Amino acid sequence: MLNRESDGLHDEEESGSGDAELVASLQLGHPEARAAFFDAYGEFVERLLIRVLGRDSEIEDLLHDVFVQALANIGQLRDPTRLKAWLSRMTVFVSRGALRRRRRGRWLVFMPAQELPDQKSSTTPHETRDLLDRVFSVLRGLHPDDRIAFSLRYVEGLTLPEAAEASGVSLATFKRWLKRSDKAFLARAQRNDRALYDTLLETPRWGGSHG
Amino acid sequence: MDERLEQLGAEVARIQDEALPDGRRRAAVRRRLLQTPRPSAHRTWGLWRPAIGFALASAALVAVFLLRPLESEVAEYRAGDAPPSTRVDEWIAAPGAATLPIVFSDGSSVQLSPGSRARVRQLSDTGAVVQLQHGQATVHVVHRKETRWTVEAGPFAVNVIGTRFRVQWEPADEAFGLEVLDGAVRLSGPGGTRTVTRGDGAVRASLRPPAPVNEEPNIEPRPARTSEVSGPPPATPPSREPTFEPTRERTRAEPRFTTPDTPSYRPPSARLELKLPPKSPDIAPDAPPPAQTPDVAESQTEPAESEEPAPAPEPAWKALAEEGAYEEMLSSLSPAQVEEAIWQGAEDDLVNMAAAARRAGDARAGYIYSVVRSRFRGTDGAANAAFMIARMEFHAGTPHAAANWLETYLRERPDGHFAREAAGRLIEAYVHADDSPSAKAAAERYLARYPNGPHAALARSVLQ
Repeated sequence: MLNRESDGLHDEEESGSGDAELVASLQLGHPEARAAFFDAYGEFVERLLIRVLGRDSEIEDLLHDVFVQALANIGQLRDPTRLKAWLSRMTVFVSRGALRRRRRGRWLVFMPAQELPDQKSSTTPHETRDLLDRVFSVLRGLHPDDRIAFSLRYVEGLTLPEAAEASGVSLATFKRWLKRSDKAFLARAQRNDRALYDTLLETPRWGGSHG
Repeated sequence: MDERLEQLGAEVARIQDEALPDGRRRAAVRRRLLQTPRPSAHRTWGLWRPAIGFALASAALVAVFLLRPLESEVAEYRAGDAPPSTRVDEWIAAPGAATLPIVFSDGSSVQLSPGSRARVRQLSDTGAVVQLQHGQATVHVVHRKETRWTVEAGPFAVNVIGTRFRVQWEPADEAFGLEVLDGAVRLSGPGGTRTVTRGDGAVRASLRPPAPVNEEPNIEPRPARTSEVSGPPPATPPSREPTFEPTRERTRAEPRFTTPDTPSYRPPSARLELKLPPKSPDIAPDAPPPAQTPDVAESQTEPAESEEPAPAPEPAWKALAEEGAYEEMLSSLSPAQVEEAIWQGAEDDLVNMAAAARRAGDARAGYIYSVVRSRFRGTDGAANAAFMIARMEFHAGTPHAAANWLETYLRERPDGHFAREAAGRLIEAYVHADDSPSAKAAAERYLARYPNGPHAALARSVLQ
């Protein structure tokens, strides 16, 4: 069971009324609303993109794309208290599009620039950078839907219903994706990164003190 | 194991979060977002570093500036005399007696034939997605550095880089047609994906079998095929679907699409030549006549049935089918024997073969399901095959094609075994295809019928 805290997708109590006001301003085309919208959710969307794609050279463009699409479609949002969930779905949709584009283009001889290993913060210790590289190296081989399921559930820590909603599929479908992603992740780790696989099988050493 | 994956995920998240407080990227995006009055999804181009001096850099910048109009984005379109529009998902219909041009801002155009109907489903800086609901359209796509144009017609999608072609879709007959007039396109459909070039001539695909063929002994020989390439002589019934039939000579055949005389699956051992042996040891004596080469077809006046069949042992596939060893049928039989089973087996055998292929990740699964639909049209098996093809399309990342097949299933079996599941998956498919109006319509239908169904929550969220 996931026991760490996640922001989740439903913060009605905390931000419901604020979101309603924000959505109303956006729908009316208020000049400052766009900035307020980005300030409120920019970090959340960026984090969700990073969860799915890793620290990727395209994140900046994709972050921009999510907000462009959100602003273009804000008129269709009828329940402002669901702004965060709606934005999550849009973010996952944009991420999936990026993953699919790369999947289609992976026959290319040269690795596309955005598929290069993660760009890491210079302050990140070597061993943790290594873990990120290794995990995303395994994730890169997964089907986009499976990779999204893995990222939303395990990395972002969403509940199953939240993750299903963000993915735009039913709970049953999401569970199928997750099951498939578990299997695929372990199979690829076993094949390509035996040390990671063995560690997963033997000792649950990650996360202990960091929760 | 779930717990360990969760712990691994948590650790990944912790490392990722270390860099999040660095808001430089967000600040850059914020600036872009606020500076653009009407934000567009432009990609960020890498910084251009002048390597050979300021003069060349200036010249390059001037050149880039001058070339910009040529790279204009597909931001809007005009349908006939209507004012420019950026609206998507709005149906555009040509009048009954005249064509209607839809001209895009990058110079590309879609000319709707009289009575045809289409809509622009997506507009982006690199292209558009146009859906032809019915009728015919002549499409001209201006080639640019990055062009992503798609024309959807029923379960088919034509992906274009820069070319001119004519596409036709008649949903009532489930009939598709494509003729490339210039360049090349990638055609995706229930049978797979293939490249179609100008030299291929018109390609036609019918998802419905033609009228039943008279099976009297004096039946005329099958029309000569002019250039089709085939593997082992297939045991071909008179109709198959989906089929991709060239109307004139084609120079090559693609393995994943079918023609009336050649199945979509061409075994690796297939010989790429026209002449076929008059008989094949792999073909059972009671098999329908093999495809004819042009010479044979022109000269032969006697029906194949009049030839005296040589006695032969029972085909291997029959024994395996009786044992229910469908996986083994696919793995141990020769491609010709598998073909024979596909075209002669009973409905249950085919359905079980297709299911075995699907479980094994065998690419022939879709083909076998399409044969089920062709050979056993109107049966539960044929309708269920549509549902299974839809599932495969969805998992293959083609949700719009999946939606078409789900609609087909629901049309054929509104109260069928998979009706509730199909109705729910239809919402998912439209959501994934980014077709919001259709997703909402599907969600409303779902809730009206299954208010407590497993997709009810999704349906409600789509409607909100």
